[in-house]
Amino acid sequence: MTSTAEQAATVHERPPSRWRITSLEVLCALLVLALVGQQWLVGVLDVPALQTGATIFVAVTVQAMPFLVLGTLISGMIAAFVPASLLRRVLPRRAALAVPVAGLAGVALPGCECASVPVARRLMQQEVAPAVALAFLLAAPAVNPVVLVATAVAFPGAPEMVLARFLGSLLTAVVTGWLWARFGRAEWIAERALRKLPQATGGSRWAVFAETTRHDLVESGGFLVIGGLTTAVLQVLVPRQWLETLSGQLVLGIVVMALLAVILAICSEADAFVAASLSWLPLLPRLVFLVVGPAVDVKLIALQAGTFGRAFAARFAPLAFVVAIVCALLSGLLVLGGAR
Amino acid sequence: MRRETQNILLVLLGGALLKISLNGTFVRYVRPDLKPLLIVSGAVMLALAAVSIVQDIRRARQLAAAEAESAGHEHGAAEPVGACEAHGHQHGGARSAWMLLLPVLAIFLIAPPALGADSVNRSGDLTVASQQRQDQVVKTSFPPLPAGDVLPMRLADVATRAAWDATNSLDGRTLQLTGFVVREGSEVYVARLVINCCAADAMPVKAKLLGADLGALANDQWITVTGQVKPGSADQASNYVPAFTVTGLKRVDTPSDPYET
Repeated sequence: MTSTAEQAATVHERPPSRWRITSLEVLCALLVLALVGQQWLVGVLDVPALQTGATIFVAVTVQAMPFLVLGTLISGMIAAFVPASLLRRVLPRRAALAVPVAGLAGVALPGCECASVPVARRLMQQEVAPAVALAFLLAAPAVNPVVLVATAVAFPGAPEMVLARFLGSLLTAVVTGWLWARFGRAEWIAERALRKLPQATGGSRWAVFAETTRHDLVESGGFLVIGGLTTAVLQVLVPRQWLETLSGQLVLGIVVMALLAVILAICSEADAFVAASLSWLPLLPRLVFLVVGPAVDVKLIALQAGTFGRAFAARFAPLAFVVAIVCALLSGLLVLGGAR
Repeated sequence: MRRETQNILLVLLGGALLKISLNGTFVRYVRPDLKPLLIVSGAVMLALAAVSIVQDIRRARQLAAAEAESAGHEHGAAEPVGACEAHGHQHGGARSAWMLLLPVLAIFLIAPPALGADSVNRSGDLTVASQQRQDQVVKTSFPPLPAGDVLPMRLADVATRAAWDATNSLDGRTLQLTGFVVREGSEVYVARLVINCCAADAMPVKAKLLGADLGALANDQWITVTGQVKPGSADQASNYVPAFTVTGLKRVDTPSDPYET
């Protein structure tokens, strides 16, 4: 394990006694600055538009946080207590058959998209075919019970959205998986992603659980805050009347909502609430938003490029984007029976 | 970002969630029934941070002991396994975690108020009653209202009945409405925001005030008004906003739940 030795060495290279500016000092400085400047800050923000934005920002973040905590807790449990070898054993040998099975397996493994990236990587490390792991990567954040319940809660007047979302996302995962199995090349995935990790055993499992959960929560929590901030800025800056004009133009609405899903990068456990708030749009563009969001968005592209390499992300993201739009439209026509 | 910093951020965020859910200000942002979930998730964050901090302290002690023991030996071998795992997680350098500071600062330092007049004006002509046009093209018969001299009612119910009730159950009834003041040009409204999940999906509902001295009322002042809905005022021309003839008006404090859910 050269990497482990290197890491151990870097830990030791840090001289513990000498004064260095680390993130800890930066955080303390920021907190002190914020406390000192509180009056000034409150004064600056005493503009109706900024106050409205601040309230919406806190609201989106606070509303989504319990769902994120739930998702990361479950993903931590899977990382610690469900060995990937078990998943590999239950999967069919042939990739063409294993892809839909992996897609359906996503139902049982809730987590937000940030959490499913490490799980997919772990599957590949256990010699599961990349196409199968990728089908799982796309399905898990979109079709699991937590997300479906959140969707049902967000659309109390339109329960058919739950089924439409489920079908659209599952279809996206399976079709993308098949396309990858047929046309994908192994060398597109960075070698470091497939390197094996030591298996967690016995007593250290709880430690793995706590550490995975904590790490996922901190990291994806940060991305969630970015999503909340973007939502708040958009809601205040973009006049509702302007977005309302989209309600008359279905094609433009679908394109804008698909792009919005990529740019907003809201966690799949919270995106239904944002889609519900865009109530002047018909259901179909909002369904596209819900199907595209978990499959491809800016934070996911960044995460995938970091995990599987840039060559992978540059091919996978556009593929998933196109497939997701087509599948969402198909599912919308089937379940919603049109634009609505 | 270092683990220590991440843990402090987690403590701050968990603390912020616990603070707003325990002191009740969380209703400015989300539905009241989210309270238990907020408390649990705040507690989970504190627990995860606590576990990690305890581990770090223990590991540092082990490391110091191992170093003292094996001075002169190759240090890679003496490294406890846990430390490798923990530091291995730092790849990708959770830089996004810095963003967690924003909600913490917003909650502790600014404590944004509930949405109000600015949000109503921002929505333009969009209101709860005008939204229902798509679902309810024809008027329907609403169940009869309870008896009583002065009837307290939700603004959303008043606006819906005023626009869509075929039995005109509001006519001749004296109602009591609570909401905040919204000024639009020379008009003064009493308004409320209706939320489904959180403040991001807020939808305004309002009634135009008539027949009282309203000059002294500022935006966002909470009031309780008694009076009657002017029959037939909530039509397409008024964009389904009823007019309310005021006979009594008093200023009140912000209610414990500022939104109608």
